[in-house]
Amino acid sequence: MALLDAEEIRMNWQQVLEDKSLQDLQYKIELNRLGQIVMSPAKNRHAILQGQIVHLLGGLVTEGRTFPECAIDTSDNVKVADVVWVSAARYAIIKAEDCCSIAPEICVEVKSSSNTMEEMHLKKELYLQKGAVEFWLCDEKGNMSFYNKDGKLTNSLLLPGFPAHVDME
Amino acid sequence: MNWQQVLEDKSLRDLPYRIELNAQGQIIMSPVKPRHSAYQGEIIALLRRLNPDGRVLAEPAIETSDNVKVADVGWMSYERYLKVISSTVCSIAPEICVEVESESNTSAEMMFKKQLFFEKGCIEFWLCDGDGGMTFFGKDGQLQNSVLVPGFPFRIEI
Repeated sequence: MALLDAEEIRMNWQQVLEDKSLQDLQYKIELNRLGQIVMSPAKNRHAILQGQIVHLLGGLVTEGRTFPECAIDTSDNVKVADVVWVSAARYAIIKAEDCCSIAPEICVEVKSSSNTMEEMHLKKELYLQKGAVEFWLCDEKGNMSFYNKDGKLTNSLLLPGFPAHVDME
Repeated sequence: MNWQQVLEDKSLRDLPYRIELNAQGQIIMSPVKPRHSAYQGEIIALLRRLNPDGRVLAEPAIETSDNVKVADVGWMSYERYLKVISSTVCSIAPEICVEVESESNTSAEMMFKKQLFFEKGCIEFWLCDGDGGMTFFGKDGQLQNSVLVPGFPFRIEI
């Protein structure tokens, strides 16, 4: 079987959503291009940083929505961004979808020990391909790095006030 | 995650998926369908009948260079069996590793697993396609039939 086409990808995610045995598992669930489920362990540290980023982001934006765990339909099947900010215009498109056909403007990944940098950069490419304007990476210590399609930025251009470090204390 | 943690995690028991790990320590789950299981059962029955020595293993977990992968069926000589029987994961692959192709696995993935199992001491890799057609591989490539179990049929009926 060749790579899954878009229709099959959506069906697969639908199956994941409908599978009761997958609800309430303490793992972040994504799909790979073979249509297999990829589960990453969720750790407190990761969840705390995620919460902190949602809080900080939400305080800086004046429109649109900020939320955690956003499923995005990418060329490598469905990936889940840890935190996103989406404009009101894009929100109108994605709010009724099972997984986003267009990536939110800001996609944030919080790196955990089970993620490699290679994987983080793959996600950056996938989200930018799907229309993300900026990709933010938060490392295990809370240090932020910001990227757009041209490469690494010294700070976010969309939200220049976002701190370079997220405090866990 | 390592295999021990997978085994200890109660939330992962009884899921209708086959669980493996990738090099990043993430859990990879593939859906298990009745047709797939039926072929597995038939291969186990045939292997036991045609090759009564050694042990037939359903879903042996094998430690590979890409973390723990699970073969659909394995056949081990008694000698190898004694080495792995009390461990959490096979440190050496069964002599025969069998994979049943399903919708969720691609030929590329099957060929990758073939390589991983050969690296860990597998002698023959058998592939059962979605219609029960069998293909046999040795380290050096495709075989006309299995050398270890020459009588194994080319097609399995379920």
